[in-house]
Amino acid sequence: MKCADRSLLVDLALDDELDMAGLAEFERHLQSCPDCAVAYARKKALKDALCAQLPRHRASSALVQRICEARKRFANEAAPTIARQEAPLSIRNGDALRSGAPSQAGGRLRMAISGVGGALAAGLIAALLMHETPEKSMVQAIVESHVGALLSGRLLDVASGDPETIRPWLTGRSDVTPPVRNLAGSGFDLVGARLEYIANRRAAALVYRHHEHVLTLYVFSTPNAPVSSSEAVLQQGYAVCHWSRRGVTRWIVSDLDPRELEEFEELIAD
Amino acid sequence: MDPEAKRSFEKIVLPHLDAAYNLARHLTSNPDDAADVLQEACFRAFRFFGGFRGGNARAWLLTIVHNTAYSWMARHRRMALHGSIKDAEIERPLEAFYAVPWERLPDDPETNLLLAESEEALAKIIDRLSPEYREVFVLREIEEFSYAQIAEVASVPIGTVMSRLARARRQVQKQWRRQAGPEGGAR
Repeated sequence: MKCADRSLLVDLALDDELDMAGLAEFERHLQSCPDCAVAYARKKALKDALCAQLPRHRASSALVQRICEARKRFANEAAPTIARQEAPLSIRNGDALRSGAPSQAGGRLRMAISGVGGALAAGLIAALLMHETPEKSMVQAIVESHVGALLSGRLLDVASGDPETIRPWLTGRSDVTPPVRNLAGSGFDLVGARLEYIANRRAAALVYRHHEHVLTLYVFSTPNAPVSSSEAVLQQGYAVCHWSRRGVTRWIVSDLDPRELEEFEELIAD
Repeated sequence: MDPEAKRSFEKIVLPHLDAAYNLARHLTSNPDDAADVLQEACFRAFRFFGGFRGGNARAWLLTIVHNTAYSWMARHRRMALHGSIKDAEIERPLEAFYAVPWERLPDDPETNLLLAESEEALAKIIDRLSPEYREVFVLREIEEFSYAQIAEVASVPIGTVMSRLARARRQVQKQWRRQAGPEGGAR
């Protein structure tokens, strides 16, 4: 008797995923079906042998120490005033954690943005305490991505104001190749693009400058999203809005005035 | 941060650093990248610890590691993460993996002995899996997470966990038999 249809059960049993009743039934079956019993025994032996020698990597003690020290610094700095803490997003690549003391340039940068970072951190904590809707956490993720890119200097993967340079670069790298326009004539200079990974989705991020403000336009492929659009909302001093059309969802974020952000939205949406 | 929260972070989260590093290392396939990812993930964990409402701290930390590693790879490698598995494969019904006859498994003691000496070879085989497969494999076989926990960490449906796991196992076993040589593989 061939029991190919039972092989899923064998895996479920080995993975401890059968409930009591399922397991009892499976065991009864094993008693009457040598094929399955042998298969089960072999699979189990192989699984045990495999598991016994799977590579288990351990964090080096130096790494653990660095993390513990960073943890102490974080706890101490967070203690008196959460708003004055080091901007957490400025150390995206771990350099500040690794070096022990922040580099001079890093220190200056952090001083310059400590207000922003502090407000952001406080906002993050507030957001965590509140009941978070998917929409809210997306707004949060968008702001975090934008600010993180600004603070870490990883704003652009490709620096160009030329749509003819950016579009081919995005093709194949992102899920969607949006129309790219330089809106310099309307005061919004295209400065480049990067790829982002937000809430488990890839996004093409187009970066614009409007006077002293930086805007990021995120474009996601969302084939099933209904047509929708949102008013600009303010989150930790950043205006965020989004809209979905024809299987594409766009988010914009900036420290611009929400009204100006909506102007930009209209230019893009045209 | 009040001393209570500080102490409990040390007690609740820090014991899982090795598991966190192990996942980061398997996802990035590189010790330096894993160290970067782990440090960044830990910093996020410091910040988000206020939102941790009890439950499995290891799964909580590994979820952060997962998210950090994917952002990190998207940033640094410009790599088509989700492109590395065709959607059709993910979507393929689970039954498809099990419809084929039993894999013939090595069952003689010699083969097992041989296998027992090839730890390095196994590491190479695991490395050859795509990160998505490697992740579910590691979470199941090393961390012994349930399918539901893996689904949460990797933020994919349970069905996807099961099909990735089935595929990962199939690939590992196939490669392993090849390594074990014709004696192990011919049966």
